[in-house]
Amino acid sequence: MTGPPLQALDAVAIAADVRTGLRSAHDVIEATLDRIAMLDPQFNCFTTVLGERALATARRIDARIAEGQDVGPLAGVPFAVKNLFDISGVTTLAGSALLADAPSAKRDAFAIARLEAAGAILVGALNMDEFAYGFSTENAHYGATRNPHDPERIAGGSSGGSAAAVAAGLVPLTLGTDTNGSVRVPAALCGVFGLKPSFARLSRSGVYPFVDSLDHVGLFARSVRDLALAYDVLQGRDSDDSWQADRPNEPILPALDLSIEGLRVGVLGGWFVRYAAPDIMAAVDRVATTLGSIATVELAYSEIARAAAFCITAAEGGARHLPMLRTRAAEFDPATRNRLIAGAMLPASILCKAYDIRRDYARTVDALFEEVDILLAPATPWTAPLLGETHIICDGETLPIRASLGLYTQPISFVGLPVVMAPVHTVGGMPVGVQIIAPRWREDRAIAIAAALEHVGVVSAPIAKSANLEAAS
Amino acid sequence: MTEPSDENLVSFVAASAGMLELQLDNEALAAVCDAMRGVMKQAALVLNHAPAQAET
Repeated sequence: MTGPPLQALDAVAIAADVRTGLRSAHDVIEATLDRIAMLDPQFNCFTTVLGERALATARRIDARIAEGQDVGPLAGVPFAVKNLFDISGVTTLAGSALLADAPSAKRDAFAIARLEAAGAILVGALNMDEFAYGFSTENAHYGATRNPHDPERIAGGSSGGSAAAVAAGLVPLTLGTDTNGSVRVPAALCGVFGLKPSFARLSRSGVYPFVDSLDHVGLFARSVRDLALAYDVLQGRDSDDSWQADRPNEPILPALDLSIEGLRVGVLGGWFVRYAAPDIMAAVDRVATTLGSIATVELAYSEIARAAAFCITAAEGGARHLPMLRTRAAEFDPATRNRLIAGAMLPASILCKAYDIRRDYARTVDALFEEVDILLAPATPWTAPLLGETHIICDGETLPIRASLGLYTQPISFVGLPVVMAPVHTVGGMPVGVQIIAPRWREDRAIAIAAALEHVGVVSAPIAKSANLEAAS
Repeated sequence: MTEPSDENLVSFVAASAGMLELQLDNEALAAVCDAMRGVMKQAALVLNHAPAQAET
């Protein structure tokens, strides 16, 4: 067919084409697999490509459309998942060589099943930091995922493959997880939209766990409407997930058209500007100015909240992996292993205090949301660092890059707030991420703000130039 | 809470490894001690925080 190349379309546009017969699902998947084969060797996003499964699913969808059936709002949309989601017949790696010889999963994760029930087509699994414990996706076993906006730089993590695959236009939609920033950090560094919903909103069944009290399922896309549509599809009560909140579905697609007039927007200062580079602050200012906000607000004790999240992560993660640390320690990525062991040794008194701080910090956040409706903050202190770079000097302090990329995301996920990560692109620079933070369960409010910003062109997620090959269309 | 001295830290890590049935040779012990320094820095912030302040 003639018309825009597939990679120029977002998921909503692809589904519209497939539903109306302008493109077949089979053609969409063939073109997607070709593009992955051509471009992924440059970026190393995928650890598994499911060509046969995807083509078979596409044929079934085309047959159903030919029979006049409604195949769902994501008809024919290719998507991929971080390799800690269970995929039937595939071993769930969770970024680790330790699991490479584990039995394959017996069924798809709940989130995959939801997307496929809506017509989307799974095409593969994506690279990540080992056991989701990192912010760089420089994986010792499966290689580094490279940032499509500059392949000499990291993609961020731990869902680095998920963000880079969208930035490179390999697929329009991916799933990841966010414990301390693992959706928002890579979305920011790769310049794509990310959504980390409220804690306990989406089912985690069939997702390899890291930190039970902090893990979230999240998603990546190149348009706000794709985030909203896919999120609405992902909602739904799952009786297999004991952590999931018992809430009705609260669709956010209608919020795309809501007026944001009158919403009170606050820009987080204090901890959330400490260490931030000038280009990061310029992007936040641009977003805030567009929204008519110059009000800086303080969220007290955010440094303490970040420290408490750090301790809970280390302790819960260490406890989970203790059996394998006893018997197969040499097979871990050394950086992961040493932090997990240290976490397993953390005294319970510190862990209990960290949980107390979470309760108190949540009250502080609730009080702040009496004064404002939305908060803005940078997603990371810097744009994407170079591959292999370990430290950065900032305000006279030498900071470890891997840990410090989560300085501004950790306090927010610590209390489970929903966030849309909105990318700001500058001429000649690397992308910058701005967190649009809403009160718990108000994903609709964050999406409304992101849609308004996208509408006026302040935030956007263009395909990276290094992946913009017309020859691949 | 003050951050532990190096001597105390090494003793703590070695004793904890024994209790958790983790095998750490000298090289591994040193690497875990490095990681533990990072964790204890954050743990000190947690333990030194006064709960009453967080509720203001």
